[in-house]
Amino acid sequence: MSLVRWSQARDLPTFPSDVLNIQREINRMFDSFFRSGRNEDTGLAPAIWSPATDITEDDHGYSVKVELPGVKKDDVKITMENSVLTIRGEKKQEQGSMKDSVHRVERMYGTFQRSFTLPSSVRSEKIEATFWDGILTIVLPKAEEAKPKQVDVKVK
Amino acid sequence: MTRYNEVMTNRSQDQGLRTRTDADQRLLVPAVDVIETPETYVLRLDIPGAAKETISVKLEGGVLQVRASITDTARESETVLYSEMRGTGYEREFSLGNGIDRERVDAAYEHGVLTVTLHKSDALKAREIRIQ
Repeated sequence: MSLVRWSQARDLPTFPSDVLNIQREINRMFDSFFRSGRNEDTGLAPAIWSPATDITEDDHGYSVKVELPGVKKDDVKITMENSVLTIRGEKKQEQGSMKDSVHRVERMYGTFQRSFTLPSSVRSEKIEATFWDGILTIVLPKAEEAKPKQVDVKVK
Repeated sequence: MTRYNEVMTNRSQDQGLRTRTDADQRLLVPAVDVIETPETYVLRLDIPGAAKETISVKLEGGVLQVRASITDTARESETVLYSEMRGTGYEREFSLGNGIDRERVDAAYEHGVLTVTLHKSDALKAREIRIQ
């Protein structure tokens, strides 16, 4: 049996004591949906989710940060092909014993993938990545000719 | 039989994911998994980007509160091109009923996941009954 993401709908509390809970869960659902653009499937198919990402730029290059809490370094693959940066991998569920019972599953599991088209000025051979506190940071340096240059012009 | 819902309820504020905005704080409600073992309840909360030294796990008056801050935000020299991570911190609360040992709460943080272990009080622990 495949693992099914926990949803309030399957375990509706009794009216009216938990109306506020429902409201909160709906808010949560909406927000988590907009937050990371994840696919909320029927719950039966294996979820494919898109982890939340930030991209910043400075004079030296670009930095791509991806939220991947609980994902192991070896379960992430980063590729750069024709200026398209792709991050893919899998978040595996923690191993439990047969005696455990699961009451709530809100965290995302399964395979994920995100792709971004980056300017061709990125030096793909110099891309580096670090993984810290559940955030994958990919640093993409710009080619020298793409960096802003300041030229002093003398006025004669 | 004691049901899980009687032992622990999820008690985060009702304002949706961005629970509260104190000053410049945008607090997110982290997703949680709750697993029950014969002796414990294990809560796993996704709090990516939270710095370990900012995490606080408090148990007061039967309410377990988890808070953390995200310290690694964009520097001034950087231009944000695209942004989906919206919070500056995390907060979530759980009401604990009877049956949980309030003196024993363990917490561990690794790879952006906070694991809080609550121990059941003796009355709640599953006992195996031997058949005579």
